[in-house]
Amino acid sequence: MIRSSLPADANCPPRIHPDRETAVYAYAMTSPTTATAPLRVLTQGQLSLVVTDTNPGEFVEHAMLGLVRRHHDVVAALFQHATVLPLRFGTLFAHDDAAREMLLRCHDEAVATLATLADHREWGVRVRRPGAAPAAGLSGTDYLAMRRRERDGVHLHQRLMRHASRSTVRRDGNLKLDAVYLVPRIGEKAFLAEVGRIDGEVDTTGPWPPYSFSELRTAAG
Amino acid sequence: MTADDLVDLLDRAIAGGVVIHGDVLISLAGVDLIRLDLRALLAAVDTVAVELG
Repeated sequence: MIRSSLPADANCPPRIHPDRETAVYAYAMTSPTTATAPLRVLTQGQLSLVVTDTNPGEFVEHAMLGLVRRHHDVVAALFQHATVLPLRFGTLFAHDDAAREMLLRCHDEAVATLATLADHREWGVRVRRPGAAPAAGLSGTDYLAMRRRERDGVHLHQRLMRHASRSTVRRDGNLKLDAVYLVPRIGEKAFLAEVGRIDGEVDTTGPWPPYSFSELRTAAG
Repeated sequence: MTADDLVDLLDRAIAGGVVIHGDVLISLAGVDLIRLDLRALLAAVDTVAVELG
């Protein structure tokens, strides 16, 4: 396989030629591990990348939904037995060397992040508020009601955060609370009990691999 | 899997996870893959929602 002699440019990543028959699809980083075919593992130091050889031609629009499901199924299966850093859907490398270069570049940050994610799972919590969102041109009463709901949402979030390590809160005017929590397994019972005490229509999703808490500065560079 | 579950999954797999640039090839045939799949997936979600609804 011929590699470009030009340095990689983050703003202009090299393209996979559509006629290229194989590329390396990456699912997740983990601590050093093993895998069974069709999965393979590339390991550098204390970091493994779980990959599979794939045909880039597979990534056509009508197949995309099934491919996302496959991505999640693999990540979820790995997550049953290991701490994982899921990669965003659609991460393809031209060949193993390119993947190994990435592993070397973000090794230390990834290993440290995996340590913080160990024994944690992700849970999503959405709490609906009664009635529709007020339109523009709020009356004073509407405004006060909105502020009260916001305050309630903050209060709910604070209650849940007592049982979580990290969170991301989304701003959504139609919901009292829309947040994702990284919860230690040992605290899940208490976290879910707290969720159960919330008044109103509550939608809980999880447990998830930590998709919402997987960021690596050194990988994006 | 309900339509809501599917949206939650897409939300995570497409908007979450480690983003890799540089040596990594996230483009196919000159089309930004992420943009392509978001459009295709949203269409697919609509289809599933209609089927489930």
